[in-house]
Amino acid sequence: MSAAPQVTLESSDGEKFKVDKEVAERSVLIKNMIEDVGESDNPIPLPNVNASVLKKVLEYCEHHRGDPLPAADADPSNDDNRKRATEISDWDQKFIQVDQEMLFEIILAANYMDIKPLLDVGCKTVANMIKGKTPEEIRKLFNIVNDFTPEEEAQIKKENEWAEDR
Amino acid sequence: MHRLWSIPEILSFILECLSRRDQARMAQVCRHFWERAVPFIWRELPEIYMLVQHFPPEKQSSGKGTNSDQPGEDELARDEVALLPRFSFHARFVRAISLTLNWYTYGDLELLATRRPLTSSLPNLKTLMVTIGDLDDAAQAELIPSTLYLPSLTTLQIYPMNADDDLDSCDSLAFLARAIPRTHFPKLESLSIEFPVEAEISPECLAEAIRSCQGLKLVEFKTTDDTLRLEEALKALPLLQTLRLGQLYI
Repeated sequence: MSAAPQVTLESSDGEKFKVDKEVAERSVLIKNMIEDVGESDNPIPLPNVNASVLKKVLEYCEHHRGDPLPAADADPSNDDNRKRATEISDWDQKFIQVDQEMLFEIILAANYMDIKPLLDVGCKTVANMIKGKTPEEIRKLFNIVNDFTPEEEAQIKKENEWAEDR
Repeated sequence: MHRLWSIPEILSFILECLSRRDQARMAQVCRHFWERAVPFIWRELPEIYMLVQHFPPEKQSSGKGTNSDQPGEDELARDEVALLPRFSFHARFVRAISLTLNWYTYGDLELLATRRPLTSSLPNLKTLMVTIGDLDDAAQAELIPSTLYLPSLTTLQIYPMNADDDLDSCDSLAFLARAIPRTHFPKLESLSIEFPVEAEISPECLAEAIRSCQGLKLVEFKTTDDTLRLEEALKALPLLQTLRLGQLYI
């Protein structure tokens, strides 16, 4: 069996990863780069992704290498379906059980590298963490500073109160 | 704050995965979340009282029939300065409203009606679903179209709450239907009406009213009456693609 074509990716901290082209092309960013530049032995630089995150992202791409590519993102109704379905597959659920910093970095990398299914999994995981929490609990969870004045906070609570009982 | 939150697409996507209840809680976390959450929370309104809440409280309590409905000019000017920014801020996110119209919700609508210049600002409202319940008189039913100038509306659905035994809602519906030609829905493309024949208006008359909305592409019309005459009348709509006439059984 002839070797599958491979490409080399380089993380922000200079680590090189040699992977099958098919795996790397789960990332639309990389797919487009390869199409633009043509096949080359030069490593593809990913200046926004460090080695530990890139390793994790590639693990995801490897597992999903055979999946059908998500439909072209031109269809907005398709996009809606993608958002509404909140279930995450078992493998993905295990994969995404990481600390919050790593979770956020994976989401950022998926966004930057344009890997929609991974972005979905990450964002849905964050959404699941938020569900059922009070504003104060959400602040604590994500270390967010309350920058409302007491008056503003009261007004915003009042204006959106109706939505909390629906 | 983690840089994740500064990417609008990501925050919006996370919000989209949440229920309205959780979105409302996100809005109370910090300014940045609030700015992103409000468009989601206000996209579809299950009633209209949440819009009316932007009016000063004394206005709401003086709602019915007294002279205090006509405030002095100074008072009006002061109120409008106070409420206009909050009202228009939220109103521009509204894309769909479900409105159950009855004696209970009528007060909210009346309040909107008395501030018509302000309420013409639902610039992105596409869908209005009206369920007609009991109203006291014709004037109340006619308030709906006179209240809302809806230049962006594309879909209007009108149903009686109880088609079978509720004559009051039939009357209300009739008054509403009569008012359609006097409303301005320049972009209306889809109209669905359930119309019991007991209503004090003939189906032909209603068909005439509907024909004033020349941009209609889809009409769904259920009535207890013979639908054949309606078909003739509605076929004249120049852009009509789908006409569904059905029998309303009672």
